[in-house]
Order: sequence, then structure tokens, then C-alpha cells
Amino acid sequence: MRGLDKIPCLIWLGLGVFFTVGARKYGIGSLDEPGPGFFPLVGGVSLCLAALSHLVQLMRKPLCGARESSLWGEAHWGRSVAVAAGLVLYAFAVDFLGFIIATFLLMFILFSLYDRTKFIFAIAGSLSVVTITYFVFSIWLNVRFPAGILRRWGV
Amino acid sequence: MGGMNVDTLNHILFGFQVAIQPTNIGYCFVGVLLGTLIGVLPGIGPVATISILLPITFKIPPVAAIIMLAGIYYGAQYGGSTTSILLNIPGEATSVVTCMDGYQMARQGRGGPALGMAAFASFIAGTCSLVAMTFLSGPFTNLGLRFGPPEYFALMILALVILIYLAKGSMLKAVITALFGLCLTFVGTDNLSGILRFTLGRIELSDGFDLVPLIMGLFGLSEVLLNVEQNMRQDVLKDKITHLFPTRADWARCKWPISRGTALGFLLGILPGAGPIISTFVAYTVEKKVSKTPEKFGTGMIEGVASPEAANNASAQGAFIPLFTLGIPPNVTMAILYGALMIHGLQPGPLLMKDHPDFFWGVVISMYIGNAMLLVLNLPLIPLWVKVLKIPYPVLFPLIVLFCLVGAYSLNNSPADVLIMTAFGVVGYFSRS
Repeated sequence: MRGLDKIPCLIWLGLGVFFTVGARKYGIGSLDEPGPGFFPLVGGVSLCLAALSHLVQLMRKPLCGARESSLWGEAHWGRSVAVAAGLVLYAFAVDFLGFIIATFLLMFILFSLYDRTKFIFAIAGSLSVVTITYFVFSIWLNVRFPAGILRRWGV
Repeated sequence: MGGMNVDTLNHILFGFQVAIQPTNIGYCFVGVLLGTLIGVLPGIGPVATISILLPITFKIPPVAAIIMLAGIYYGAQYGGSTTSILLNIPGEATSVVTCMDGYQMARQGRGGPALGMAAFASFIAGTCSLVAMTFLSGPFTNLGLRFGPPEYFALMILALVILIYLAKGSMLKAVITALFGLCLTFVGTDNLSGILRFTLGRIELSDGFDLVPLIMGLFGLSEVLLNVEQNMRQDVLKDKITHLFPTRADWARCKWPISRGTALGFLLGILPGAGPIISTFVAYTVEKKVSKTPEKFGTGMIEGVASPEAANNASAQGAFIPLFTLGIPPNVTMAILYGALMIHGLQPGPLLMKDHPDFFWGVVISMYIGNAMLLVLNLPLIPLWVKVLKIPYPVLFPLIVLFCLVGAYSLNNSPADVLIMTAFGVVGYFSRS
């Protein structure tokens, strides 16, 4: 798992590069007359420099391995990946499947994340949560949720 | 001087008129109850809760909305101590220090007095801070009115410098976070040229990032992502909680620690960057230094519960002064409240008190009422909080995720906001892990 603690640094560095490169196409201008890309360039370059310094700092750190094992070794990081991936899939599927089905599926995944054997609990939990949420937000607070494939049944 | 007192009295009475309206009382009650609940529950804090509930407040009047959100913030400071004392797990970061002596007291069968003293110290400190806030807001506002752009710029730089200096862990990480925040503001339409920048061709990003999915992701979802990785232990103390009212001897031991905690907490609450967490550590350290028996701290000293609990509440109330009078949020929760005020059409700063006295004084006076509610609520409801603590995290976290996604989606009825929230959740996860 060595090296995983550098992922945040690489993300910051990537974002810094994104803003630095992107700033150029908007026009940098000059110090007297800064263009729309001037401040993004300054911000992007500063972010890159700070991220690089942090990366160097981490590489020189002798106790890096110990920190990593406590951060990543014992943690069930698959669960956080599942939550994030579930939300991304939800965002892509909600318009097609509709709020009720998509939310039920997401809740089912989340309720079974810790213990996959408790199917009945996960199904009952997801059903009750979706029903309550739909009534509170859609019927009571008038939030417009997508009906998706349930539209033909008049939902 | 007399005129100022009459003015202040008039304002207080006006504030009472606003605060005791049934709607506002109702939202205050909901806020402090929710605040205590999330304070009790480890794994969800006031920052996440306020972020998650922010979209719900769009449909209610601004005064009621901020009364409720403020109630969540200071209510959480009360609730956090319950988990620290009964479980040895801090419900909030501000209650970490309370674990040291609070849990030891509970193990010795003195959980009741520890919980009682935590509640009384919180109430006394919160109320003293509010009195100071009531009388200091005027002078602060007058000071703020004399500020021009150079003074505000200097103050902002000072706030950022203190924030970075006081940041936990690496200072470089704090600088990176500040730069990341700066870079986020570049996304959207450039105000001067009208050019769309960094929108990746998405129309949803033409106005930049919406505050709600951003803070929900950074603070709400990231907390879930971090917590689901751990198997949370929930060994609630089995002993019955009795004798919630501290004895005379307890009061005699705690009167000065409460006073010192209140003063320290209030002053550190006003300072940008310091906030309730640091104030609890400072208060505990000061008590240890002035104590004749410093070696007994950590073994169940009631002073070790009273002082930090007073400090975190005083600090939570004090933090509203720079937000309301200067328009400078001294901590993350206040930054979210700043956003909430803007969304409700109110500009935090020196003109807030002058232009919206109903809002300003209504919210300030509601905090007195909220503090009294918390004291009345906390002691009798402790058995209920003990039951709440038994809700397993695998049941709780899907509900938090659901609240986040409904809040993000309902903002523009757009799945793109759910994606933005998730992306910021991942960013928040990496920056906090």
C-alpha cells in the first residue's frame, strides 16, 4: 500500500496543472492589464508548487510506511469506494430509472455494505426509507423527482 | 452612555418580539434538538448537518432559517459531551478533551454529575457569551462601519494567516486547501470579460459551483466516506445514570474553571481560526496549570469536564460576533452560515444590524431561548440520548447519504449536482484522510 498517501498530492497537482494549462487559452494579459486567465494562472501555478513541495516532504518522511498502514491497511476503504461509486451511478441512472427505483437500489447497496447476509433488513430498510423520503419531499415539500420508467404507471 | 443602554434595551425587547413568535420558537426548538442529537451521535457533526439541511431552509423565512441553523451549531456543543462521558468517544471534535475526565467519572459511578456539570457549564458559558455578544455587537459594528476596502483586505489576510498558522497537522496542507478554494472561484463566468472559464462545456457550471453541493460534499459526504471505513465501537455504559445535579462541593470546585473556560472560549471564538476545538484544549491546559493537583487530571476531575465544556459553548456563541458584525466567518461552520445568509438575501457585515435589525436581534435573542431550551432538554433527555447512541452506524449512514443526495438534487432538479457533490466528497475525503 506504500505510496497511497501521495494520492491527495497528485490530485492537487493535477488540479493545479488543469488550471495552469486552461488559463492560457483565456488570455493572460499583463500585470497592468490582467486578462481572464491571469488569476487562474497564478492560482494554478501556486497550487502546483504547493502540491510539489508537499509531495517532496512526504517522500522524505521516514515514517511514511507506518502512517500508511494505519490509514489504508486496516481501513475498509472498499466501503468508501462503494459509496462514492454508488452515488456516481445513481447520478447517471436517476433520470432513466426514476427516483423511487434508483434510490431503492442505492439504499439497498448502502444498507448491505457492512453485512451482506442481512437481505431482509436491507430490503425493508430501503423500502421504508424510500417511501418516507418520497412522501416527505415529493408530496409534502413539492420537490420534483424524476419518475423515470415508472411514469407509465402515473408516478 | 445612557442613550446606548436605552437603545440596547430597545433592541433586546425588539429581538424578544421576533424570537418569541411561534414559528421562530418552533424552529429554534427543532434546531437545538437536532443539534443535540447530532452532537450525541459520533460520525455526524454540525458542519455536515448544516450543509445537509441548508436546502430545506430555502422555503422558510430567513430569521427562522438562521435561528434553526445556529441552534444546530450551539446545540451540538451540548450534545457532544454525552458521548464523551458515556462512551469515551467524542460526539464532536470539541468534546475530545471531555473524554479524559468525563469518562473516568462515569466509570467511577459519577456519570450523572459529569453530564449535569457539562450541561450547566455549557448553559452558563453560553449565556455569558450571549450577554457579551449583545453588548459588544454595537461597538464591533461601529468599528466595521469605519472599515474601507484596505482594512477589510488586511483583516481577510490576517484571518487566512491565522487559519493557516493554527491548522492541524501540516501548514503546507492548509496552504494547498486555501489555494484549492481560490481556484474553485475561477470556474464559471468571468465577471469582467464575461468569458466562460473551466466549465468543461457544461451549462450547469456557467455560474460557478453552487455552494450547497460543494459544502455537502466537502463536509457531509466526506465525513461518511471516512467513517464507513472504520468499524465503530458502541459500548454504551450499562450503569444507570443518577444524580444529574452536581453537589455543592462540585460547584465550589467548578465555579472558577467555568469562569476561566467562558472567558477563554469567548475570546478564542472571536479570533479567526481558533474556534471551539482549540479553546477546549487551551481551557483544559490552563486548568491543569492552575490546579494544586495537576497529576489527578485524567483520573476523573470534574474541573476537567466543566472548563472545556464552558469553553466550547462560549466559543461557539462568540464566533457569531465577527460573522454578524464584520462579515468575517471565523470557522468552517460560520463560513457555511455566511453562505446561508447570502442565499437568504442577507449580507453579513456592519450593515446587517442596521438594515435588518429584526433578523439580527431576533437571532441573538433566540440564542438565549435556545440555551435555556438546551438546559431543560438535556438533563431529562439523557436516557433517550443513551438509547440513540445504540443506533448502529450501518443504519445511520445510508440516511445521511440520502439526505445529502436529496438536498443536492432538489437544488436544481439536476443529477449533475449529485455528481458535483460526490466529486467534492472525494476531494474532502482525501484532504481529511
